[in-house]
Amino acid sequence: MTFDSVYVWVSLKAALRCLHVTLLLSIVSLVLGMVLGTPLALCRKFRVRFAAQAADVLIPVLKGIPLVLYVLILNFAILKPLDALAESCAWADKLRLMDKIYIGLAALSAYSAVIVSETMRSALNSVPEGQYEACFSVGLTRGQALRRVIMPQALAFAVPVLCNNFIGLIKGSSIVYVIEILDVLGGAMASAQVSYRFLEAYIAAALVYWVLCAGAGRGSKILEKRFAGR
Amino acid sequence: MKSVIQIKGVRKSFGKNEVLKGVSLDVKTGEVVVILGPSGSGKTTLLRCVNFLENADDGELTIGELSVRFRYAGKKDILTVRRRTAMVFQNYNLFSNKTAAENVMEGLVTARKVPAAEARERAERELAKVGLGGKRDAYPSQLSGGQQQRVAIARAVALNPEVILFDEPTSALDPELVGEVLAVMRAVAREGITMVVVTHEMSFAHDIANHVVFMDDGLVVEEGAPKEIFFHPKEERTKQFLDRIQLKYDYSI
Repeated sequence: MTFDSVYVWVSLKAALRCLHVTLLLSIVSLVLGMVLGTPLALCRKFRVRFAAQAADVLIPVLKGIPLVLYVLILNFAILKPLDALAESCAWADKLRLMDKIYIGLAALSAYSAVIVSETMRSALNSVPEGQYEACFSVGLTRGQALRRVIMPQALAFAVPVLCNNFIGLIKGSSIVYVIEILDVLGGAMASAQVSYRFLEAYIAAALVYWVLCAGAGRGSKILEKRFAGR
Repeated sequence: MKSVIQIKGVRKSFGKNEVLKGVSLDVKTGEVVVILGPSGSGKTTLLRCVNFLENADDGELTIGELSVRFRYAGKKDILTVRRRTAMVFQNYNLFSNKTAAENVMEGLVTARKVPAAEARERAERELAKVGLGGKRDAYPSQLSGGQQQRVAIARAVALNPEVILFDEPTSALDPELVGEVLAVMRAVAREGITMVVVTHEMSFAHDIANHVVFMDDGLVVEEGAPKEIFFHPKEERTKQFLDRIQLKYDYSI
């Protein structure tokens, strides 16, 4: 079977129909990652009792687990307990056909929280100690110092890295095909099930991811410029 | 005269190294106290203990009617002390995400709840006084070291604190920028604002100080009027230090 670019086009259309799933997965997990990861980083920075110690142990462990295992482990961790329930209520079919996007979101968000907390921790460490001291010397509390001075500066350090994290999440989200979520990769592959044009389908999917990541990269440049304006 | 700040028996160790070995200091209203001493003598640490940037191990602080033991100071006491004092740092430490005017306003608006319009007015007035009225919208990275330090002084003065602590305010500056900062400090002193200054600028100490404290090895060796300390030092250690400094810089005192 020779390469046929027509099938790239066919798969591309199929992939784009599932674009919203990839966008949803990567954007929601980035946002949730920031919401969960930033407090984690703050706990570690300020040595909040118990939380800091727990994070010190857990984050290096969680950082060492590949994303595909997050997806698989959460898939079973969430579905297994439901099995017994399904059996007693005769939900077997419902469960089989359930939209697994929530499992994908949970896995990607957990992964993203770990990554983003590391990004925010290094960003917080980049703000010189003198900035805290200046805040305290004019009578700001620690909370006020964080809100008014420290976090704005830390965010400026974090923006380029966060954008890289986001690009990683866009590409990483493709891994959810292992639990049969129809995202860009899943959509492209589905179109190839009929024609057996897998090479063309993969190339179509690659094109979509490349454009998404290039767009995120452009966005990063614009954000960086805005933060570097001072 | 009334005391603004009284410190009694401050002790502070970093690990096994005892930096302050029971230092006492009494600062009167409107006074300019200059603390001299070789590096490592504990001058900066003493200053930083006053507004709790370092936690002293022992000793007592009285500021106005508030008296606290350093070791037992609660969050509220610390905040109260910090809101009655201000500090000028060796490395300026301006908020790098804020303009000159915002730097001056921050402590007023956020910590003291002064209305923004009033704070802006006060910020502009203070910046004009340090000769930077035209730089109010400049970010710290756009200002020279001397200009940054003058903004820092404006930031401290605007808070109308009971005392301003100066921690080697000219040590990080290029030699040709030292003059402009000292001139601003002189103007602040003339306004009658109480100042405690750690510095190596002998001419400033001589001209402006009401009271000179000489520290060495974590203790106050000698203190008194500048004339006494500079011309008739009683302690051998003070003489040695002054000789060295004056030979090195050739100050005419």
